[in-house]
Amino acid sequence: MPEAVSAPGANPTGGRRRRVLALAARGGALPESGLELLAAASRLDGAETAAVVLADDEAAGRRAAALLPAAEALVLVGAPGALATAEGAASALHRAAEEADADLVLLPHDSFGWDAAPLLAARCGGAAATACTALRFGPEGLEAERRVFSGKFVQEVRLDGRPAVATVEPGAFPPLEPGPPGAVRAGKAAAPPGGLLSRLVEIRDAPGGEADLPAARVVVAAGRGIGGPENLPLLEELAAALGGVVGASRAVTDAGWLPHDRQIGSSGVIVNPKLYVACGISGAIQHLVGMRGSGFVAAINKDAEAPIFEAADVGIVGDVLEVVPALTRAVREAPAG
Amino acid sequence: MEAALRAREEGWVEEVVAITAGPAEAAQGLRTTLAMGADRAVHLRCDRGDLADPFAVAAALAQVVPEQDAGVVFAGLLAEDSGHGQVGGLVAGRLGRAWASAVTAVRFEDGRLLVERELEGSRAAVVELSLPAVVAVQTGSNTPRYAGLRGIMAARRKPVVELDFVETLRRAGVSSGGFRRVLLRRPERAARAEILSGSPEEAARELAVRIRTGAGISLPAEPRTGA
Repeated sequence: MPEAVSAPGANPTGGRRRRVLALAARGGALPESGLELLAAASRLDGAETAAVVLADDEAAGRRAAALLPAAEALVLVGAPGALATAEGAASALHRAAEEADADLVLLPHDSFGWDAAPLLAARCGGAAATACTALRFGPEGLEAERRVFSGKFVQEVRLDGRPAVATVEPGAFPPLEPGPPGAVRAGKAAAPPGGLLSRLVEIRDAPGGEADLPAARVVVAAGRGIGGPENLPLLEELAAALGGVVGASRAVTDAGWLPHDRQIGSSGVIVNPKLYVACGISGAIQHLVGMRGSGFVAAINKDAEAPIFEAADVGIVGDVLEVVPALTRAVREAPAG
Repeated sequence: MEAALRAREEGWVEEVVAITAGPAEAAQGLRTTLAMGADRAVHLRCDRGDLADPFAVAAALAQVVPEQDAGVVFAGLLAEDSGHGQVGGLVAGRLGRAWASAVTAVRFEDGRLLVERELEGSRAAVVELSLPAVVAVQTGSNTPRYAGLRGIMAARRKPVVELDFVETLRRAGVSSGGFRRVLLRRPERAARAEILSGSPEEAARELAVRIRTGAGISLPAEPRTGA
């Protein structure tokens, strides 16, 4: 895994401590992302962090809050359903940020965070820094790093807006251990001034497809580097020879080469196989988050600079279409043992 | 674009206006959208560098959208702003409009929109949006149609309005974006995989050995189970 870069944070304004709000949990459950946000906040020099829990039910919110190791946990309680949309969350966070005189609001870069962050940023009069892998306060405000071009480059951005709004890439910061906050406070979540314009109708579970991927002991994963759907049989043969199943990167499922339920990554399936063979996958963080629990990782990619080689145990720099069939033969012909 | 054209075909969108911010070359992309079936186009002319600030792009678009009387804005999710994924949401926030991102399906019902949002693990959220609204369409949710020869011919006669980006920002009352892309660099190298050398055959044979020793997978593999 690429380690998050933590630069020595200067606090050139000297005086008052920076205040950070982190959207650590929604409802009573504590997601990994909440502890990752608090880890990101804990690395900000001289910052004081309030972990925010959005909840319909105060008792549930307090359950999650009790596990958040921050200076303070703030439970914001809304009317049923009011905090289930980006709009509701953005309004509640905006008011809380004003009241706390916050310098920075952190959200997870997940399907909820990337929905709510731009609305919140617009309210704060700026843009958000999205999918951040490192954060620090510089002389002119928040400085954030984000990975671009499939993780091959780091982009540094600076936000002048106050409070600054940033979403934190899953997997970029090792999560803190759950622990009690310094204090817990509960309050009413602010509603949008003009009433709600959106409403969550329902959450639909995944269509009942093949459920073999999360439990597979061997995963052979296809990336855009396999060239096209006509080459998938090569990977299926390798998977069969290894007793495994075929998964894919987002690029492959978006292109329709494989169904969406095959996608491995932060927006797809999380896998934990003994063996992961990445074929033609560049290794964007979104993908790495989905396979970092793998026991042993082999990567095949013709680009020696691909970030996947930083997440792999062994690699072959070469053409997937040559190496994969050769590997299938080598596996089949291996002496028993 | 495809989602907007389908909405027009379903009869709940009257007119499709393609809007883009970009340098002169972006006109070609607009011509393509007109050939696909957009009724007219607006080109916010700017330097490529201006596109690096999603705040400024969103402010200019938020100025243009009401001027064009657009009731529904379909935004791309990522490609339009080099992966920031926020221009649509910033536009919605500035205009105080209903908003949803990562949208894979849109339907019009009883004067409002019902959209499906993609969530983690192939789950989906159904969200009701009042109009006017802004939705960011998820990549891969619609296969764009091809522009046929007839469409390409028709596109030549469709109006394209050119607006100056900086002037539009001035009308929007925005001067500084407050968002600066400082620099682009290679990431620090983390620990790296051991790279197996040799011909594809040699490297593959060595990899098979490592799979047995490193991953503890016995070869030839056990029969496939559980699938």
